[in-house]
Amino acid sequence: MLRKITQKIKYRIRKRYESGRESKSEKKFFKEIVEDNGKKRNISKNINDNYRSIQNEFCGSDDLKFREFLINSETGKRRKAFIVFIDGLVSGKVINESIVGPLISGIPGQTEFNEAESNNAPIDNSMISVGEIREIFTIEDAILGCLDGDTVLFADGMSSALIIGSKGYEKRSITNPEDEVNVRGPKDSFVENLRDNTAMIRRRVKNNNLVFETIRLGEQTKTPVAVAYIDGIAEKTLIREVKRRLKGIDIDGILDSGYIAQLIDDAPFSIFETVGYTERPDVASAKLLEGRIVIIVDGSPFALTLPYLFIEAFQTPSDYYSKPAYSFFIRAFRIFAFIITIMAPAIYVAITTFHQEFLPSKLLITIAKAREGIPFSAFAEALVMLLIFEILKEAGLRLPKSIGQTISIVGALVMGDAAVSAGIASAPLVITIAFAAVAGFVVSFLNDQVFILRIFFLVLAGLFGGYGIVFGFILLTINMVSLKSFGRFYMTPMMPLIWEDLKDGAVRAPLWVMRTRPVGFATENPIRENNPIPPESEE
Amino acid sequence: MIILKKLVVVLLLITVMVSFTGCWDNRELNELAIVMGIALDKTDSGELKVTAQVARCNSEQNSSGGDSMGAYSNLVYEDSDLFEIIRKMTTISNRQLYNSHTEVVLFSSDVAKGGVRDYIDYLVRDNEFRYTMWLAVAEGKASEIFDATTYYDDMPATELSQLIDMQEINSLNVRITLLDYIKSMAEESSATLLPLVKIEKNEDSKGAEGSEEQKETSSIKLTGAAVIKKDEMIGTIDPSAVRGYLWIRDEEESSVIVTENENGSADIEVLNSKGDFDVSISKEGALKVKVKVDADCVVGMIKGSHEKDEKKLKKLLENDCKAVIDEEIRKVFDESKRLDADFIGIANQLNQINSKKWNDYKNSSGGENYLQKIEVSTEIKVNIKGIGTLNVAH
Repeated sequence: MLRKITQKIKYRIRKRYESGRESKSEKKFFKEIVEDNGKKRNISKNINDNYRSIQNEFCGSDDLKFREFLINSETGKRRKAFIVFIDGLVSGKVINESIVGPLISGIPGQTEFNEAESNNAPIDNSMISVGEIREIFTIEDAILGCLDGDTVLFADGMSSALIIGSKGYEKRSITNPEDEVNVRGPKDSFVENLRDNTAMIRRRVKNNNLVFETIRLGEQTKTPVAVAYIDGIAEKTLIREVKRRLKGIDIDGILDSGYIAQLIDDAPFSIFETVGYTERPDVASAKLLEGRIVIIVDGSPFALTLPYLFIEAFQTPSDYYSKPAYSFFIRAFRIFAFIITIMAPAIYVAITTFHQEFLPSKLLITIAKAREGIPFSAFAEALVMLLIFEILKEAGLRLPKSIGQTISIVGALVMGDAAVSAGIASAPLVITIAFAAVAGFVVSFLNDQVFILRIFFLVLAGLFGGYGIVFGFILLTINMVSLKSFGRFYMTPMMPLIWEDLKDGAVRAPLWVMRTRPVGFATENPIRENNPIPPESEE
Repeated sequence: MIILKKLVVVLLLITVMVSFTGCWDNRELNELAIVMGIALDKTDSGELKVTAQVARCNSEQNSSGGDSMGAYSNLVYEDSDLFEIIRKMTTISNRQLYNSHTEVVLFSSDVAKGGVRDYIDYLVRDNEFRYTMWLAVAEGKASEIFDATTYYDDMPATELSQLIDMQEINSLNVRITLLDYIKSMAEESSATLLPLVKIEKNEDSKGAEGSEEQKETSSIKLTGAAVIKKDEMIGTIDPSAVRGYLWIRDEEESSVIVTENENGSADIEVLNSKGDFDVSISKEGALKVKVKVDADCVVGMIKGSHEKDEKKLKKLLENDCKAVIDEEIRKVFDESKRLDADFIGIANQLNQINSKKWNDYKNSSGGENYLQKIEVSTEIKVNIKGIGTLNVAH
C-alpha cells in the first residue's frame, strides 16, 4: 500500500520534472538519487600510508609503477615524494622531462620546509611543466587518475595529491568510415578515444555554446561518457531527461555505445531503435545543429544521437552535399527500396499461393512452368532461401578478406544457380529473394529490423495470403506510430504531421528552403538562416 | 508479470486458431489447371459437351521434349449441366480447374440456338470467371476451333482471344465481353451481336504423299456476326454489314474504306469516327432514326488516274466515302429488318432519350413490329486530312 503511494508520488514528480517545472524539494530529491554514495578515503599525510593504500588497491598488478624520489629545494632540504602511474598508458617523455626531472632538480624559492605546510602551490606553479594539473583529496580519485593514464604525485606531509596529465597510449588514427560510406562528403570517422572524438566535433562546430559534459558509467569499467549539445539550440527538457537517464544506469561495464543505447532506450522490447548511432563526425555535427544530443563513449567509434526518428534511417549525409534535383528523388527511392525489401518475398508467396488472379496470364504460366517439379510449397521455399541468404550474409561478415570474394561468389552463384538446376528452388523465387536482399542494403541502418520484418511478413503471407500482409502492415504501422523516442513521436514528421519538417522527410528540399530547424526538436532556436537566398534564375 | 502472462495467452490463442483452421484458400501453382478457354457443344444425344483448354506448364527444358507434349491440353466432358460438368472434370483431371484466367467462352451454333442464358448465369455467378472474357459463337463445332493450328501462340484459345481483341484495328467485327452482354440483357433492345468464328481447313502437305509429315492444318477465322435475340441465336448477318453496325454504335476505330468511281478506286483509312443516332416517333407511328457519323480519314492509296486538282480530288473522295458509309448503314438496317432483331439498339436509344414515349409507343398498336417500319436518314461527315498526288508523267 505504502509502496503504491510512493510510486504514485514519484511518478507525478517525474512528470512535472519532464514538463520543465521544478520545485526546490524536487531538486533535492533528485540530487540524492544522482550523487554518488561511495565511500571515499582521504589521502593521509604519511606518504608510506598512501603508498601502501595504492599498492593494496591494485591487488599486485604488474603494470603499476612507482617512482620514489626526493623533491629538492633551494635550501637543500629534500622532501620525500613518489609518483604512481600505469605502464603503457602514460607517455614516458612527459614523466621524464616534465615531472621527475624538474622536481629532482629543485624548487626555486622555497627556503624552508615546514611540516605544517600542506600547500602545494610552489610545486605545481613553477616546477611541473605540464599543461593539465588537478588537485585531489581521496584515494579513489587517485586510483581513477592512474587508470585514466595520468600520473599521480604524492608528497610527504601533503594531504592532497596532484594528478598530472600524461596520457600517451597507443590509439587508432583517424581512418575512413567503414560502415557509412558516402560518395560525397568528408571521409573521417570517429576513433575509440573520447578526446579525439570530441576534438573532431569541435573542429567542425567552432561554437563556444557547444558543451561536452562527461560522466563515468559502469561499476567495474568506469567508462567516461560525454554528452554533447549546443546550449541554446537543444531543448532544456531533453538535456535534463538524457542526463537523468544516464545517471540512472547501473551496470557492470560499458564496453560500447550500444550498451548505453539499450539502457536508455524508450522501448526496449520494440524492434525499432529509438537511439541512433553514427560513425561520422559530420553527421554528428549536423545532428547537433538540429538540436539533438550526441553521446560519445570512450572506447567506441560509434556516437549515439538522440532522439532518433524513423525518417533518419533514410537520410544520408551525401543527400545534403549533392544537388537537390538528385537528392529529391533518391530519398523517396530509399523508402521505396525499404518497402520492397520487406515485402517482396511475402508478396511473391501471397500472390502465387493465394491470389493467382493478380498476375497476367502469361506471367502466371511462366511462373507455373518454373515451379513445375519443385517439391516444396512456395512458402517453404521462400523461407529456406531467405534463411540461406541470411547465413551467407552473416558468414560474409566474418570472412577473412582474402577468401571473402571467392566464397561469396561460390555461395551466391552455386547456391542460386545449382538450386534452380537441381529443382529445389524456382528461378522467379531466387530472383525475388536476391532482389529483396540487395535492396536491403540500401538502407543499412535498418538491417536488423529488415531481417525480422521480412520473416514476419513472409510468415503472415504464407499463412493468410494478401490478407495477412495487410494485417501485418496494420500491426506494424500501429506499433511504429505509437513509439516514442525521448518524448517525441517516432514517426515525426509523418505522424504527427508537421508540414515544415516534411521538407527533410521523404524528399529533400533544396538547402535554401530549409530555413527552420525541425519543429519537433528545436523550439528554442527554430530559425536556422535569417536571410535565405534562393538561387538566382539564370540570365 | 501479469502482462507477460496475458501476452503468452494471447499468442497461444493465435497459434491455436491458426493451426486449427489451417491455411484456407491456399493453392499451390502445381495443383492448378489454368483454363484459358471454354467451348460449349451439343452432342447428338442432346447433352452438353464442354471442352476446357488448359495451359500445360511443363518446363521446356526437356531434351526429349519437342512437340510430344504440347503447350495445352483439352479436357472434354459430357453431361447435362455446365456447373456439374466443370465440377466433374475432376474425375478426369488430377488438378482442379482454375477459371480466373479464362479468356474466351465459345458457344457452338447449336448451343447458341438453344439459348445461352443459363450458361451466362453460371458464368456470372461463379466468382472466378472474369467479366472481361470474350464471348463468341462458332459456326459448326466449337471444340474443333480449340484444336486448330495456330500461327503464333501456343494455344488456340489465347490466339482466338487475341484475334477478337485485334478487331479494334480493322473494325470489321464486333467484340463482346461478358460484361457487355449482361448490360445488353438489361436493355430494351432484345438482341445483340456476337462474333462468329469458323474454321478454315487448309491442306498443307509437307513432303511426299503418304508420309507422316502430311497433316491437315486448320486456322481460325472471324467472319461476320451471329445475332442473339432473347438469348437465342436466330441467325447470322453478312460480314459486310457488320461495319455498318459499328459505324452506328460508335465502335468504329480504324478501318479502311474502298471507294470506286469511274476513274479508279481509292483506299481511305479511317482514323477515328464518332457515331450517334437519334430516334424519334413520326406522325404515322413509325420510328425515325437519324444516324450521324463523323469520320476523320487519311488517304491510303489511290489507284488509277484521278483528278489532278487536290481540292477537287478531296471533295470527290469525301463524297465517295459518304456514299459507302451510307450504304453500309442502310444495309445494317435491312439485315435487322430481315431477322426481326433489334441489335442496333433502336428501342434502347428511344428509351434513353424519352422513356415515357418509348413505353407508350411499345404498348401502342404500331409498336410491335417497329422494326419493319423504320425510316432511316443519315448525316455523314467525312473529313479527309491532307491529300497529295503522285505526278504521273504523261
